[in-house]
Amino acid sequence: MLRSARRESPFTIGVLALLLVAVGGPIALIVWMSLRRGLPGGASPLTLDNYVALFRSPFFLETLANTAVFAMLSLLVTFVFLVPLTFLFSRTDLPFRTGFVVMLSIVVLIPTFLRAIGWIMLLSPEIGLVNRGLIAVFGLESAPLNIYSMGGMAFVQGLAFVPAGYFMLSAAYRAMDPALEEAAYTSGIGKLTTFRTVDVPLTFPALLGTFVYLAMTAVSAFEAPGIIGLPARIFVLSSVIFLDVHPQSVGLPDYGAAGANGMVMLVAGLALAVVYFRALRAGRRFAVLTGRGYRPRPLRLGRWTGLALAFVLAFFLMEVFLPLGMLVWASLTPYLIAPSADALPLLTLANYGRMLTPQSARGLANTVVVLAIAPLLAVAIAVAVAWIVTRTASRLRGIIDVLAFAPHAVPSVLVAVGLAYVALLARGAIPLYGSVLIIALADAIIYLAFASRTLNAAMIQVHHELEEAGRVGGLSPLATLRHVIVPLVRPALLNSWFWVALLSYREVTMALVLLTQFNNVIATDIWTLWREGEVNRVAALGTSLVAVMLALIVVATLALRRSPVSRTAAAGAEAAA
Amino acid sequence: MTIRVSGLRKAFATAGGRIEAVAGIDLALHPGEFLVLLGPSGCGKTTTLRCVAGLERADEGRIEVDGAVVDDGDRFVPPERRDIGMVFQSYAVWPHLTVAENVALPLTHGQRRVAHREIAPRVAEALALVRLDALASRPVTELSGGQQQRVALARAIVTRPKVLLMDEPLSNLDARLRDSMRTELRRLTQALGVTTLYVTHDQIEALSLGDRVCVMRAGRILQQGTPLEVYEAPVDTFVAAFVGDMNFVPGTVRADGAVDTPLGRVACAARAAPGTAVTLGMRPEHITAEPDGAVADSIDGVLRARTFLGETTALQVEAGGLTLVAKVRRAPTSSVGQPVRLHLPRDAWRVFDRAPAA
Repeated sequence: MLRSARRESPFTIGVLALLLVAVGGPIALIVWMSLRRGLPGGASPLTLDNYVALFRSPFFLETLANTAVFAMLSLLVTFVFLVPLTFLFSRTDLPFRTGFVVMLSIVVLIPTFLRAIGWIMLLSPEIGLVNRGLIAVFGLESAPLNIYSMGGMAFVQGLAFVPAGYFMLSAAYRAMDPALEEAAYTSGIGKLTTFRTVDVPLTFPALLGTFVYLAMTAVSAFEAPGIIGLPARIFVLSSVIFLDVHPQSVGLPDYGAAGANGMVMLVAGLALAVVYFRALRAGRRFAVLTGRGYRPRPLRLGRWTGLALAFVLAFFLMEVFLPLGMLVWASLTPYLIAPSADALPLLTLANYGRMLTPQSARGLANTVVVLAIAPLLAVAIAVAVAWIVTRTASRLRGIIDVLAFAPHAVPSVLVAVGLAYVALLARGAIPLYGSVLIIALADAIIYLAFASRTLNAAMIQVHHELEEAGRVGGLSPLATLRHVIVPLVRPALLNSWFWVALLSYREVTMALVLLTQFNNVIATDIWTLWREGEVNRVAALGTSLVAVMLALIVVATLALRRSPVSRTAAAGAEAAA
Repeated sequence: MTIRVSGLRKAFATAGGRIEAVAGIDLALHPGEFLVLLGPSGCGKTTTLRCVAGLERADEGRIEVDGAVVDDGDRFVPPERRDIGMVFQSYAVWPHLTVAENVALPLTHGQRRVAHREIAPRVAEALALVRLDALASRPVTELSGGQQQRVALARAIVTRPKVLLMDEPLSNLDARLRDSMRTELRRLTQALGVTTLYVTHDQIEALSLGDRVCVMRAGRILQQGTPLEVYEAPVDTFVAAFVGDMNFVPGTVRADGAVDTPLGRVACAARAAPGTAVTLGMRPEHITAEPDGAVADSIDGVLRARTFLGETTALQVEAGGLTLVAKVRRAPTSSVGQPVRLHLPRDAWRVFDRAPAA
């Protein structure tokens, strides 16, 4: 036996164990809880009762059908905008296209539930301003548009997916070698035929990959189904799981049922993941990636420019300006009222004045705690993972890489349910359940995938001799990491820290699942106030949340002297979906 | 012995299977000795060096540094605990630090750290040795390639190691800088008296720097000796061709010890049995062009090309179906395409017992 097949270092084994517990743990617990009855920690035999009950329920098939329809309708909305936008931004001479891309990278951070709230203010049959306007103008009997429907839900979710989809798809577009097109032109094939016979088949794997990736996300998305679907009684898998652990009426949480539903979601996600990796492999087979940096000559839009700009502006209107504008407007009025000259005297800052309550003060403090812990934890683990994966010859680095990336594919609602379960199991030993710490942990786990991918990319660019020079200079591996490698990847480190902080700041799904009495954060405060019908205070709080986020982005962009459309931002956009 | 390597073996797993980079190497360096590992890329010289540094772990064999076993299968001393300094091919200066900070880091955070008040004088001393004292506070990225290489050298010697390892340190420099750095390296290592193991594929570096040269190929040492020995008495055609240039002529040994070749009978003293196929070799600088007359040890050929090199002129001469290269001080008057007579002194021939390396 050769000596090079040597023992793994304790450090590597420690990181692997940490990942197994943090990433594998919640998933293993979903399986475990699905096989048990009663409360966590209670006596229960292993049983299939939860599955039997689930599959027998007539409600189950309806949920499944709703989930599928919701996912497909959302993606229909997404792709109606996504494909033309990607084409316009990456292949044409559309004016301001760089600015539009920057905007996409920023609006991706506006949480879906805030967009949903904005759209409800516009399109709800009772309070929706658009509906009331249409009724007034056309003298209608009832509201013509209803956001509280499958269509409304999918509309909001689909729009929210567009930025993430854009960053995935445009990467494939940019990587395409223009020589492939030019070869077609010089063979005498026209532009339109080239687009049909070369571009479309070549980008098809990327299109499919984006579609399947977003489908995976749609199957587990909770924000639109939670804000719109719950009051409308349109249930999908994620909202059913949420209700299982947070019964709306009196009742005990049913982790068994949540586990069984969670397994259904996991299986659906797994099936889609298989399709996704097939699509990726097909994409690689075409091998259209080249190292050459030049961009294809943009297609001239000419007289179509006006129409294209109108399309883009209409998209941004729906994507951000209408719902967010509505939110800002509502934050300044005492009750929901249509913008008009008559309304101007009513404008007030009273909603902002009423924002600070003992409850929201605690939410703010808790949010600060989450932001202090989650990004630091995610980035610290990501540094260790990236170092092992890119810098050592460990035979465990493959599995460590996969484990660090896995949270990307695991629905966040399930991670939260799994964490809640383990915290309940261990509540006697560790006071984790109901603490803000558990929310920070959940964020760290989910956004680890993004942080480790960013740091992998940065660390692989550090020449191995820079590290070896440290070792022969007498620096221990840890000292080398601290004094040589970490300073060299500092920009990526700060960038991923910042993005994990932003993502944690706006995260609401896991915070809601883990919400008990005292661990509310700003995002859950908004949600709770909304359920209580405090429309204008919600608007004020939501506007503040977005305003603070935009201010942070501006400050960080200036401080890091990086365009927000860096690779980090593109990866962050995927994590945000 | 300051460095002793015995029976060193190291293989790597690649996509195409296992490749044995080092297939049994023995080395011994006296204190203060400068030993050069010379060979083409992939010959295992860098792997040998990295094993001595502790950046690779040996599969088999034993390595001692300054009397202490650092790698022998059971024991493995990591690089930071070996008393070594190393200069890398890419310089590997740390771009986030200044010149002085680069040199100071081993003293502040390494295993061989020194008392705080000693750091500044030690750094200044090392920088003075490489003549960079004026640039101490500059960011290292603002320096030229040659200056970065000096920083790397200062960083390697600042801990006053017993052993200095250098991996193709001059290969990224341009030719003129390489010449002056070579002289400086020699001066510096002699002044410090540090035992040096030096890896290069450049024969001029090897011959001019080394107290001893090891020519390597395919993971093995073909020949060890002083630069003069290796140059004057190469053991085979590979070493002969790698250390300098050589003309090769196939031949068969005659009963009287002379050799029959396409150039005619060569009256060198081959010690092989009659009938043996041999290869004769002669260095281009041993050949002279005869303006006229001389007959002994001469051949007639046709001048195919001439290249003026300054001190010498390189001639390509076709004779007996072969192309011979000569580096002559006095160039013949013949122009290309005209006949030329070359003098091949009989005692300058080397006799090898197999065909020349491709």
